[in-house]
Amino acid sequence: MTRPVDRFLFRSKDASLRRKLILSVELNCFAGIVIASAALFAHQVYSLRGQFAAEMTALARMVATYAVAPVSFGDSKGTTEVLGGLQVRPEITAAVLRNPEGKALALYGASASEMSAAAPMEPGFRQWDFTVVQPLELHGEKLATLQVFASFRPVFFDALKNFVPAMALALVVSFAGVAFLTRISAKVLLGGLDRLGASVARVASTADYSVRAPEAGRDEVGSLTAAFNHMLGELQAADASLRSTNASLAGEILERKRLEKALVASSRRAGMAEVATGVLHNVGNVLNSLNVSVHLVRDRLESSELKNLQKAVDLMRPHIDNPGPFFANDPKGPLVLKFVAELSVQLENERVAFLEEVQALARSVEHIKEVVSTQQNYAHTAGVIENLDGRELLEDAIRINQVSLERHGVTIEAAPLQPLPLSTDRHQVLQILVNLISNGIHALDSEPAGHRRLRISAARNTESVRFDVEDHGVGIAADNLTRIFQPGFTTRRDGHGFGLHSGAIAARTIGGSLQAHSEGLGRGARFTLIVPLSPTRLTRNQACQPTASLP
Amino acid sequence: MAFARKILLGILLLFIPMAAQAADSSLEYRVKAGFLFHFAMFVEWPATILPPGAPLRIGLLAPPEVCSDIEQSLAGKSAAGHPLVTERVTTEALAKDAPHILFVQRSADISPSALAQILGDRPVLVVGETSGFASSGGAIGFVIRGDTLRFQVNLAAASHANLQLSGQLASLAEIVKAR
Repeated sequence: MTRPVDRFLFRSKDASLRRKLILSVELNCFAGIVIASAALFAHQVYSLRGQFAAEMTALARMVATYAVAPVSFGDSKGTTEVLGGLQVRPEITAAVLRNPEGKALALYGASASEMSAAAPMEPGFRQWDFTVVQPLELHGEKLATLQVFASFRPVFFDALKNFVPAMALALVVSFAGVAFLTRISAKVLLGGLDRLGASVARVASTADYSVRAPEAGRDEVGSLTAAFNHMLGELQAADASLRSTNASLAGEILERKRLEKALVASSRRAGMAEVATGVLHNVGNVLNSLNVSVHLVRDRLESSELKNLQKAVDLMRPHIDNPGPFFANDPKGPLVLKFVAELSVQLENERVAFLEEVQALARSVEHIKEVVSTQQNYAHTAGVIENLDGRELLEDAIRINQVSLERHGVTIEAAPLQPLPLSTDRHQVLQILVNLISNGIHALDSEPAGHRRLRISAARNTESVRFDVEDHGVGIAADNLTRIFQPGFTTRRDGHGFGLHSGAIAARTIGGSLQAHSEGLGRGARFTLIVPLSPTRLTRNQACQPTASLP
Repeated sequence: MAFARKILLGILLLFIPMAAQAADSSLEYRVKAGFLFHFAMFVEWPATILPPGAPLRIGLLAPPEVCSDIEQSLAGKSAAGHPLVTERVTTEALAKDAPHILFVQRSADISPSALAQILGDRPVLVVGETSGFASSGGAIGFVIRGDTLRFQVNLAAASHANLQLSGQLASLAEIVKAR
C-alpha cells in the first residue's frame, strides 16, 4: 500500500525511474541535512549550556574572590560594587551574598524581599534558570556564600536567532548542491540504462534483432546490457532458425494439403469399398437364407402330391362323359373319390407351407433391400425407429442363418423367450444378430460334428434388451479382444474383417453397445449386444441383467 | 566557624558610624585593631621573615591606653595561620628589632619618612593615622570618609619594604603616591 507521501511525491508507479531516483536522493539528503542541522543545533545548545554554566561559574568565582576583601572589611559599598561587576553578563538576573547565617550582605538585580532565604541554594540548571553557589573563603575560612542567578533563555534565543538563518542558508545551498549533483549522478548512473532502454525500444518497434545496446561497463547496468545483447544474439539466431523453419514448414503445409486431398479421395474410395463390403456381407447372409427357402420350395415341389392328382385324373378321364356308372359300378370309383379327398388335404398343407416359404422369401428379399438401402445411407441417415419384439428379431436372425446352421451341423440352444418389446432400428439389430450367429457358426467349425452348439439368449430390464450369442468354439486370444472390432481384422481364412466392425458401429448408432468376452483360445466366446428400449434410454456400454438364458 | 563569626562581629562593630569617633576613643582603636587584623590577612611577608606558623608581631607606637585597647582586641587571634602578637615599641627599639606590622598612633611624634630611615628596607607594614600618612611615605594610612573609616595605600612604600599587598586589599583602598 503506497503511503500518501509516496503518492504525492511520485504520483504513481508510472513516474520515471530518473524522477523517482532524483526525488528519493534529494529527499534523503534534505532529511539528512535537516536532521544533521537539528543535531548540530542540539549539540550547540548543549555546548552553549555547558559553556554558559562554566562562564557563570567562573564569573561567580571571580566576583566571590573580589568580594572576599570587602566582606572581610565589612565594606558593604565595596561588596555591592563588586557584585555590580556581574552586569557584564546581561543573562545574570540576580545575585546575593549571604553570611553563614543566611543573612543577605549584598544584592544584585533584586530586592531583599525577592532574595529571601527561600531562594534556591542548589547549583545547576532548572529549566531556563541556572544557579551558581560560590563560597567566599579566606585562608580556609568561609566568610560568606555568593548565589548568582542567570537565565539561559536569552543565550538560547540568541543562538537560535543566529542559527536559523545560517541553517536556512546552509539548507538552500546544500539542497541546490544536492540537486545539481543528483542530476549529474543520475545522468552518469542512468546513462547506460537510458541507452539500454533506447535499444530495447528500437528492438520492440522494428523487431530488428541485429541492434546492440552500447557497452556500459561492468556494473549492474553493464551486466544487464551484456545480457540483453547476448539475448538479442540468441534471439537473432532463433529468429533466423525460425524463419528457416517457417519456410520449410510452409512447404510442408503445402505438401500436407496435397496429401490431405489425396487422403480424402483415398478415404472416400475406402469408405465406398467398406460400404460395398458391408452390403455384400449382409446380403450374402440373407442370400443364404433365401437359398434355403428356394431349395425347400424346390424339394417340396419335387415331392408334391400334385402328380398323384394326375393319376387320379387319368383314371377318371374315360368316364368324363358318363361318370355315374364309374362311381356307381366300378370298384375304383369310390377309391378315386377317397384319394381325391385325401389329396386335397395334402395339397392344402403344401399350399400353406409354400405360402410360408414364399413369405420368408419375401422377407429375405425385403431385408436385402433394407440392407442395401441402409448401407447406402450408412453414415448419413438414421434408421427408422419401430416398435418391435426382440424375440422376433432373434428368430429372424436364426432363420436367416438356418441354411448355414444346417450345413455346418450347428444346433441352436435357446430357452423359450418372453416378448421383448423395444423401439429401435430393426435392420441394424437384425444385421448385428445375423452377423453374430454367422460368426458363432464358423467358430464352431473346429468342434466335432454333432457337438456344435450355439447358445442364444435375450433378456430385458427397465432400460435395455440384452442379446447374448455364445459358442464353445475357437475362442479369442486376449491380445485380439481389443482388435476384433477394428475394420479388416479377422482370424478366419475366408473372412474379410468387416462384420464385427460394422456391427459395433451399428450398435453405437442405435445407442447401444457390442461387447466380446472370451477366456482365451479354444475356450469359446460370448458376444453381448445391448439395445436400449428406446434410442435415448441407454448410453453405450451400459450392462443389463439377463432374464432368460440357456441352461 | 566561631572565628568567622568573631570576625563578622568585629566587622559589624567596625562599621558603626564614626561621627562621634572622638567621643569614644576606645571604640575607634578597637575598630582600627580589626583593620590591622585584616591587613595581616591581605599582606604577604617574605617567607624568611615570616615562616609558616610563626607569630606575626604587631608593634604599637602609641599611648598605653590605646595599646591596651588594641591588645585586647587582637588577643588570641591568628591571621592566615600566624598567631598575632602585639608589642609596645619605641622609636629607639625599632632600629634594632622591627615587628611585622607597626601601628603609629597620631601622638607619636615621628614622621613617616623618619620611620623609613629607621626601618630601612626591612619588611615592616607601617600603618599610621595622621593626615597624609600614606602619601608621606607610610604604607597604609587611615582616613575618614564621611562616617566611614577607610584607608589609603602607598604601593611604592609597601614595595620598598618587600611586602606583597593583595589586589583585593588594594581594591578597597585609596591608592596614593609619595609626595
